[in-house]
Amino acid sequence: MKKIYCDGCSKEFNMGLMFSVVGKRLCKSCSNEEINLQAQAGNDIPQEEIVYLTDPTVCESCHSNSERPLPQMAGIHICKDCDTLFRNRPFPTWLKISFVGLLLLLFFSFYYNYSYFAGYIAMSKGEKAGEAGDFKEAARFTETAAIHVPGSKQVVAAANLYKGLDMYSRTKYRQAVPLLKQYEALVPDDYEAKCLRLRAEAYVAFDRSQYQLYYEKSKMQMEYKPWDALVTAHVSAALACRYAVTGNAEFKAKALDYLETARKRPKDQGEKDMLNIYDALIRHRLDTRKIITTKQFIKRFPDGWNPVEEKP
Amino acid sequence: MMIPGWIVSMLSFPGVIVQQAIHMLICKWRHIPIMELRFFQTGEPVGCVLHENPKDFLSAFLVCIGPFFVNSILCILLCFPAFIPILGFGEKNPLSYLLIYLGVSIGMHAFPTIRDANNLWEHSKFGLKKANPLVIITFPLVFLLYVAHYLKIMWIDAAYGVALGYLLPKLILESFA
Repeated sequence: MKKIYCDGCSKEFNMGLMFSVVGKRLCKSCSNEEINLQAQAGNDIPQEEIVYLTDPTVCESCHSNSERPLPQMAGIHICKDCDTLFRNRPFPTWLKISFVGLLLLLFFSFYYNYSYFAGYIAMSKGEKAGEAGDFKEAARFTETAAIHVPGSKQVVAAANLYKGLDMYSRTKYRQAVPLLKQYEALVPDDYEAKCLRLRAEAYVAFDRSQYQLYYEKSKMQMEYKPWDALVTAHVSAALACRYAVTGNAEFKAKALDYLETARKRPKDQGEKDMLNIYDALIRHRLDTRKIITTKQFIKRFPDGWNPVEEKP
Repeated sequence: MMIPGWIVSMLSFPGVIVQQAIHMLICKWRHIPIMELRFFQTGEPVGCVLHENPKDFLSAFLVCIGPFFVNSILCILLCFPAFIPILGFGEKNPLSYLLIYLGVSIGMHAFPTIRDANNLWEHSKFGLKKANPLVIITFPLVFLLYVAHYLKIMWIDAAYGVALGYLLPKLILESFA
């Protein structure tokens, strides 16, 4: 510890307890006196001209004493031990443990969420394929997504929907129905899907020659889509089947009524073209009392049907 | 109502700790003595690493910019996988929320301190004389750091954390959709 004399009272003090006031090295009481004197004389001493004197033999970090002046680091005098500590400051144990914990958390997050990521990619591809009308690919991707994320209601529903649509598009209505029902159970507010399921059930009934059920399922579609031209035409087609089997004139009259209503409702040219086919098919059914599928009708009469060409 | 910065810092304390830890790591790597170290404390500043002024431009650059990159990368690594169940499937997962909290708070504290920006500015001037190529990007970078420092009052650091931790994963996921 270094001792120096006060420029004011000439007494000896520890250097670390003294001040530098406008260049003078003063003890505490002399410093206060000097500041007051200057203030009375109207000279305000700037803050930066009143500083503690630093004792170069005292470490400014740990306050240990030394016989000789200590080296400086960043403008402060430090002892050898502090110098070593500053240069080799260790990481605290809690920090190391926290860092390991953070790494473990990161790895776990990537491992745990990878399946969600893979599921998301598959689901996105499936939805793109579905929007493009490729239901087979859509079903494949969404099934993959469901394997990755089996707990997601959204993914499982999509997988069922696209599988159902794939079966429906390939006229495999019996396989389509349970899939669409499973989708409906998960997404009960999707009325389009409900209608589709009813239509698939109607076709299954048609395939089984259950024309009463065919009519009922077709009629139920109208509860969800009363304005739809093709749905109305389906009801007409079902009634035509019932007439073909029973010969009941009431069914024929109702079939023609529904057909007339359907003709007023098409919203685009595509529906109009489809309606023309249904119109010819239904009139063929009513005229001949022969029940054939739309596919068979188009194949047999590619240029349209003329009533005089076929006798009942 | 203005929320004091120290309250925000206390709520996002993981970010403060990570910033100081990275700062300390870079100082040790570049052999810069560390005089005082506070990973977290109440009041201002909530964390600090008092070190000797770096002796060379590269050290000053790394000390200033290093925590920015590391914190940003950590933010993305923590938040992106955590957001997938939430954004992709609507699943409310406590683990995801914890990871997002950690990630965003780390991202929020990516910006260097004004002291480090000042150091870098001083070194940039010397670096220019020595034709150091890094200096070319440093001048505009330091300008941005000063702007960011003064915009902290408008929560620019929180906005950065949210942008990295939430908006970026959302954009990435939507690009797959």
